[in-house]
Amino acid sequence: MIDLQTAPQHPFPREAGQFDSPPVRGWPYLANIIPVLMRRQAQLWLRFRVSSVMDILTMLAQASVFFFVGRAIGGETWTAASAGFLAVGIVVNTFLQQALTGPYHSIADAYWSMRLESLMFSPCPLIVNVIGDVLWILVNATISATFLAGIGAAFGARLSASAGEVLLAVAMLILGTVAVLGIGLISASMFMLINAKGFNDPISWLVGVLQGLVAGAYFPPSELPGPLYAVARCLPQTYTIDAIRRLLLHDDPAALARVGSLSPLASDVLIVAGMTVVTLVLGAMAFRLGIRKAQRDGGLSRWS
Amino acid sequence: MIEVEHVSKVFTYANPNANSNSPDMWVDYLLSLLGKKNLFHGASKGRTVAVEDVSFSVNAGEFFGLLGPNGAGKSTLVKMISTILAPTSGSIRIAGYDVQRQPAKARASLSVVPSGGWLSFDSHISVDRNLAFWGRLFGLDAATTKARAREALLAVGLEDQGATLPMALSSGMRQRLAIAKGLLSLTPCFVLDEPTANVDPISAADIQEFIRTKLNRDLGQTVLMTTHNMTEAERLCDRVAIIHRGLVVACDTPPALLAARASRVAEIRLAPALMATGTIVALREHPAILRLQEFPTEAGTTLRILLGEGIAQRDLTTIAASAGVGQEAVRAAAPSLEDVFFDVTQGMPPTEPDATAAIEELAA
Repeated sequence: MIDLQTAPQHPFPREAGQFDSPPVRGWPYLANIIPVLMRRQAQLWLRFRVSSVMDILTMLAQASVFFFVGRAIGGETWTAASAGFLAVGIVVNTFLQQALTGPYHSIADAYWSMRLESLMFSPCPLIVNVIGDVLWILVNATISATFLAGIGAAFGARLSASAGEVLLAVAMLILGTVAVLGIGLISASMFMLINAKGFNDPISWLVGVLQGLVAGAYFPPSELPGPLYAVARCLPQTYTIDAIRRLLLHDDPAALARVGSLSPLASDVLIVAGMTVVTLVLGAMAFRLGIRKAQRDGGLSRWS
Repeated sequence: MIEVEHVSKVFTYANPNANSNSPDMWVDYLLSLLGKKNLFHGASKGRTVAVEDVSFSVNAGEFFGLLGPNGAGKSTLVKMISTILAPTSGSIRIAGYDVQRQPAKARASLSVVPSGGWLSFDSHISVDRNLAFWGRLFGLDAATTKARAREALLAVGLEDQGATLPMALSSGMRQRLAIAKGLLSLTPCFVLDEPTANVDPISAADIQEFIRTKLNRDLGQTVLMTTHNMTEAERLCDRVAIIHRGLVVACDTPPALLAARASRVAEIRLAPALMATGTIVALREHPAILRLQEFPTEAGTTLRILLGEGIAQRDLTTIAASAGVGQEAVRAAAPSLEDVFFDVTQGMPPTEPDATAAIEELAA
């Protein structure tokens, strides 16, 4: 029973404009809210920690298969360089895959767990919620990547890079992840634009398949037949993986065409930077279009 | 505080199963857009006018009710007010902010409590953590959020439920928690969508009392509440808008709506002997009688009658006499909002396909 006598009095306002509306726009708000969104995801991760740990173990087992197959088939040609090549590809692919599918899953999870409308009632823009969720997903990917790197080391992978090169590789990973995040936003907008609500959308499916097949995570793109190699050169993932390998493994066998007189590494960086701008702009536009369509047709609403 | 001006909402459907979670849903959707019928005969398969040219305003500190049966357009209207659905035409302002041009500011001025309260929370984290998350979304710092969460839980009588998961709370408690969530952010307006739906009568009375006495009267919150419960609207609201088939068919204070029909509601106490003589059928079919309800009593049956416009209670004596009922059996009765609803929607098709179901729901 509600005790109306003892319930405290709030200093509630009666007139418009007299309430203490905190700032809900701008960088200070974003700087405050992003960690809050990440913490919420962390709380959920901890709540389901057993299944989260099981997911990591499954992923490690699946990754180990590649190393076992490589070693079994490679025989004497399997070297530390081979293990390093595969380890870097798998680790980078983990981040890029999460950046690709994270935005869609952020929307889909919120929608199907009935939280989406509640988030939409708040002054925090939905895209900020998505970015907060994806940042946590990437933190989570870092944990997975650490274990994957350990598996790689166990199979003989060794880095041949200076501390500066490692830092550059991290910067390249961030740049490539942001580029793929732009594609992820386009993928998330499919939830609204074409009602792709069944945890499956054509953009992340197509790009995800191509990423695994042609981007060079498991073998050099130069091994691909011509048309697929051409497709590989359209993906930011290809250049990201290539650049990181060049930075961390100097004897990397992967080879991509130069751009003008630039070194392959510099061309990788420039291409990924350009693609980042394009995918982010397209992603933001598609997401905005998706939200507008959902507001028109009620496509994000489950409240009736 | 809330101004709704000439708002309409028309839905067009390219695919009737838009909320399916089939993995192939998007394929169906694209095919439906590319289908021969749609390609050559327009992009939609269906069109529904959910809300049509609705205008009303809710004053600061007022308790305003949107009253109507399921499917009348109440929730569509509330979704538009809460910015998650865009009006097809018209404008809505919350605390002076246009919901389409300044949606973030409009949302920061509004606390929305959806029906049932189950849409408001993350089921897998505790009540305290849910409130902490919500307060931060509204831009509050951690310390303020914590202090207000404590006060808000105390205000709704859930101060000992902080560590509980929302899914472990009863429906009534979840509804109160949804209100507590709104109290965190000190918004000047509350929108409550059927706050007592799916709640037992005792909890419902408790919530009604809280909303009216504490939230609206003591805390000065402007409240917009939707309901299909006529008694609830009559008891709680300063003003009500009756909505039917997307149209506002009446809007006034409950006393004014009732007073306008005070002379048109009457009762006839019918002796058991008259029950078999076709009296009820004759009265029901009389053109001056809009509505006739039967209530069995120990002494026979009481007929509650709503007369058509321009017909007075004294005219009922003549009508009753023609059906064989003496004038001593006829007496005046107080009108209810149910009578008002029936009166203002007469001649309109019911919202529900089954008219009886709609009327029964309203009566309940």
